[in-house]
Amino acid sequence: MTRRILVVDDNADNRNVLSRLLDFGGYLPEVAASARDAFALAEATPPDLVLMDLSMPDIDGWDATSRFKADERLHEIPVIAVTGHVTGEEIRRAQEVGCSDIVSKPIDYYVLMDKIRHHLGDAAA
Amino acid sequence: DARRFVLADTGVSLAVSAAVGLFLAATLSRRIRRLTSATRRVASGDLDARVEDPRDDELAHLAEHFDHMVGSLREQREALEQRHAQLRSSLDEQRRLTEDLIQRKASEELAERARAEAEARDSAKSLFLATMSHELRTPLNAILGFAQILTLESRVRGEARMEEDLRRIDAAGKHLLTLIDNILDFSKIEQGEMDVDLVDLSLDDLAQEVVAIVGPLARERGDRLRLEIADSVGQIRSDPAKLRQILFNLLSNAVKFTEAGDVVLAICRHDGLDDAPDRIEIEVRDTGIGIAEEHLDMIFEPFRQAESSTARRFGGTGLGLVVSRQLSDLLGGSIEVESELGVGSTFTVHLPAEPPAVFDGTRSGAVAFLPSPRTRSQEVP
Repeated sequence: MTRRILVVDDNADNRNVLSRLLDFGGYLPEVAASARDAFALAEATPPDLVLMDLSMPDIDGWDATSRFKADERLHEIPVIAVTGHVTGEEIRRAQEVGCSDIVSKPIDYYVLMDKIRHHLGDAAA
Repeated sequence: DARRFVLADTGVSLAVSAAVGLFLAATLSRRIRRLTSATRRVASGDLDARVEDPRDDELAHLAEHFDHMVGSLREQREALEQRHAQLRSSLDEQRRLTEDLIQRKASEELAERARAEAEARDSAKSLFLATMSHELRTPLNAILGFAQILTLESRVRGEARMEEDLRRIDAAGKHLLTLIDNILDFSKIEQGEMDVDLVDLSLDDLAQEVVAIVGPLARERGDRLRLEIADSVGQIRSDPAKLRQILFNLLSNAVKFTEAGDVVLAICRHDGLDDAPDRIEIEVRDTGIGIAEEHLDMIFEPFRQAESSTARRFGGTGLGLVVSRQLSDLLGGSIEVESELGVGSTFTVHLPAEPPAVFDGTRSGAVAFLPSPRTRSQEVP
């Protein structure tokens, strides 16, 4: 069965790029333009993994991840943080709220696939 | 005859008396006039007026007292004038002191305002640069992302020519990203806001990644780009983003100033003396235009290139080497340069394989995240 991956990003281009790359890699992408949409989608049908943009207006990626981790139906879903400029501070905060990993933009397809496979426990997609 | 004598005597006496009387009356009147005249002068403010009547009678006494009175009036006036002058000079002094105080307070106020304004300007500048960097990166990330999707799809379809063009877009985009990073890094370092994030990393992977980005630019200029890395280099502990930035700046510079020549990135490891950590030596050699000796000092200065005509001929922000030196310092290392005009240049970065403890924050947790796998190395052109 195809794994479902939820892309949460307020930027349409980023959502588009990520979902095309996921599609190419054999995953089923779902997109949410805000943390609220992401909760609605995830609660209706929990995804296998979440790609979470960190800098979003309203509810940012760290807060959104905390809420996923506080929800007992969703807390086991791995969340990979997506960030524009990786700094030690961003990594530390991402770990604190329960992100499993972090990928930086510009997204490298190979790095992205490698991390997703690792966190889904797949040998290959 | 006797009658005549008496008459004559009386006549003489009368004449003498009249003469004496007339004389006395004239003298007295003159003395009184002098007194009157002196009184008038004093009344009009001339305290130097004196009667100075040398005689010894009531009028002379009056004159003497008058002179004495005028003398004492004059002394009092002088004392008053002196006191007045003292008061005026002390008032002037007070005024001057107050003026100084006001000036000092005004300049303090001015300095304080200038400092507050500079602070506001600095923080506005940082915010602007951070925002600009984010704003520039977002569309650039989209360009690079779509170029990558097209690359993958053109591979599926076997469109090799398209792939080559897409690789150029990718390389140019990553180059632009590094230029944006240089500007942001420079402003962060200038404001002392640059953090160092140390992780264990493979210098081999990092070097291959940078070579892959610079590769297309090297091919464009007909340069042979080579990576020579000693097996002993292995893992080091450093800040990957900063190291990548340094390598990219040095390599893209070398390629930029070399036409149809050789550019070599050579990395080796030296044992540290005693307890000192091992030293990593990163050398970027080129057979390019070289730098004249008198220009060697200024190439690490902000916004300077060896010659201003250089900027017109080769482009660039003039920040690459500045930022590279600043970043090397931050990583506990240094950069040096050797060059000969028309022969080529060699930039050497010396880095500790493990920076001193002061450089290490509480970042050790960062390694819990998966390190990026060596992926691009298979693509090195």
